Amino acid sequence: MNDYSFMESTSEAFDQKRLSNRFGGDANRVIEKFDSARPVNTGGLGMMYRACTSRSAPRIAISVLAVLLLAFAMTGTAFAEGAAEATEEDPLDIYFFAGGPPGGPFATVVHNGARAAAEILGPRVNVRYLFSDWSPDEMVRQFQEAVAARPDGIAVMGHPGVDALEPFVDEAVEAGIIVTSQNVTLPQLQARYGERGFGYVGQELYESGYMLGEAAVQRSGIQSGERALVWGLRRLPERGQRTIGAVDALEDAGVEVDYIEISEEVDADASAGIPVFVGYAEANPDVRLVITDHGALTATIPSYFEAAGFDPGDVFGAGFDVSPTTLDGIREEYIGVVHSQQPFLQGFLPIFQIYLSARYGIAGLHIDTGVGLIDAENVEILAPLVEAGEAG
Amino acid sequence: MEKSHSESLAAAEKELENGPLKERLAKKLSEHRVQVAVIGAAVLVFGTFMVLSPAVFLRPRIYVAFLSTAPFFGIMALGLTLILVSKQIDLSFPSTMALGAFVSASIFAATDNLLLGMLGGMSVGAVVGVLNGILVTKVGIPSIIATLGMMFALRGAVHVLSDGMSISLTALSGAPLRNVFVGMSPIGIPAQSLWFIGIAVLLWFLLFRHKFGDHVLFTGDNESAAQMMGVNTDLTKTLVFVILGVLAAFAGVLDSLRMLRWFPTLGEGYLLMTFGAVFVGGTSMFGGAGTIFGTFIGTFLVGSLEAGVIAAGLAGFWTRLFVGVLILVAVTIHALLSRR
Repeated sequence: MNDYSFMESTSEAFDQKRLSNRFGGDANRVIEKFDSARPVNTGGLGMMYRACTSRSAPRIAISVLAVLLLAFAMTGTAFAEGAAEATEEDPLDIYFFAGGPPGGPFATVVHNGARAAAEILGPRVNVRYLFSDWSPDEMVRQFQEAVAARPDGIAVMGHPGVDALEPFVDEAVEAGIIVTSQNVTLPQLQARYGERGFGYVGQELYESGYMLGEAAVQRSGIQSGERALVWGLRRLPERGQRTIGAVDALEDAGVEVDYIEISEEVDADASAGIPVFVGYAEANPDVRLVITDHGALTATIPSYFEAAGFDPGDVFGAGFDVSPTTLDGIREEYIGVVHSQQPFLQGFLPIFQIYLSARYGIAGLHIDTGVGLIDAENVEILAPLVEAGEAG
Repeated sequence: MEKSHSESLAAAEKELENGPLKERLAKKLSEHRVQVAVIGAAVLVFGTFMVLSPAVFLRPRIYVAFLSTAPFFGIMALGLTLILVSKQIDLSFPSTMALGAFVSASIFAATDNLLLGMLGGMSVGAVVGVLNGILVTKVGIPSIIATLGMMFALRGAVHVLSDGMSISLTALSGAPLRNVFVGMSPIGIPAQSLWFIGIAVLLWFLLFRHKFGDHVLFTGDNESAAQMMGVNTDLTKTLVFVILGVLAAFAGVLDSLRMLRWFPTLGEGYLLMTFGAVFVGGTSMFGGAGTIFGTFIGTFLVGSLEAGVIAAGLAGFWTRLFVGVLILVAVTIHALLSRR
């Protein structure tokens, strides 16, 4: 609700000042003079009262009432339009890539972040959400379709890699569409179009992998020559850098690393990985450290360890991205440390990036969100947000 | 004594009728050649794994792991066998799995009553089966298209209803009723595998020892002939969709109980594995014939491949190749055996 009472008082004060300037002295006395000289004063209610007591009372009263209503309506409309001018703009049409699958723990937090930004910007933006099951092919197809729809902005994930997206990003920027990125970086395209709003919100993939690898080595106490498993997604063009970073950190510490690629079945349903892990653990009972480069697999570490006959603390579990189940794993001490890339920000900030670039010409910002490590020390601080789907 | 003598006489007469033991054995083998081929494949695959990774495949833990995870898609594979025998196809079961388990978890979250939740979830599975049946038999949409649409629609419904959020079932951790479904049984194998075996036996009786099974086989073999024989083929087809719907919801409940959390993506990784289990087991796509026993063995074959490949020290990239080759070999053997 708008409060216009201040305008009335301002107007009254202005009138008094103007009259004082013209006639000198106290404005109230001037007004009193006018009132005594003219039977009908400027007060609306007084005028109505006098009109109503005259012979042509009904007609005048109705006319005045009509004029007042019209004036009120026009004033109200004008105020409303004024207010609308202040808040309503042509909404920016934005296509946002949330990753996927829809409902996946990570994509849900990204999606919630973007929705929160859209909610704050209100009618200024119209955001459409795309889920791709993390499939690079699907992302390229969806990006092409988004460009064809000629929106104002597209916030894309870089999983397909620069080569796959380059021609379509070129086409989009030429068409005046602001393109920005999240979750997985597209460095060459960002360098080329940074001045036109192409930013990045997300972790530095290799550095995040290396950071978790280093943290896991330190906290697990694993020694040079001992065995560790990395279960990751090296096959994905850009995304695989995080897996490589984790492997490099372990190898730099002298750890003997076994690597397993996450199959598509396990990627979709982490419980399908139980026999895979048990098979590995039976063949390699001397494994001391396990890093899973996948949010759902990280959440399933307790089930993997239980099935393989490991008690909490027997093997150090580490992984990426926090879900409510991961919190339980940390509490039960099956999971020692988890890297958080703060996916909520990866949804929230790209929407603002596009809005700010479109309205104020802000260049692309590069924001590293992959700076968080979660363990038993700080798990309870994050728990309520994770349960609400606002952190991960 | 007298009686046993007469029995042996009867047996001898029968043997004379059927020919010598060797021939009878050959006849039996010929009758059950699909099952024999599946057992042969299982022996070959697990034998190879034992040679390549004796430390893994000569110890019990890996088999316990198979028994704890294979039932989730194996139970659906049993229902899918009936669908294929009736010459239909169903692609919607992974989504039914998610929806049924979602309803079950939601009811449990609201009432703290697991049995009521399971009943609700399986009822939803049955309703999905009825819808599939109506679309196929009354509207006349080919089952592959109807259930493809249903697969997307149900998955979408799950995401809309859950708002993409998972549902915690940690309140059931340690609950006796959970142990009945997914706990460790007193004989040392996971309870879900006992349910899997029980359902397999039940469906075997239903398919091969019950009138309904005859109707399913007749419908799949020759629908027009079945109708002339008085079989209500529309009802039969609808019922097999209902059976798969209920089983998919039940499998979803088991999976979410095992993980103590319902995930909106539940079931998405099981489509190919479930079809793989049925085809490797020896049930053909042409209808009118099928094998519950083959599906049962096929489930463990498909479910063990990735673990075997990894334990053998090969990269996970090999898994798909192995599954694909296994399915191709299985269907080729089946096609060759069918020709004879």
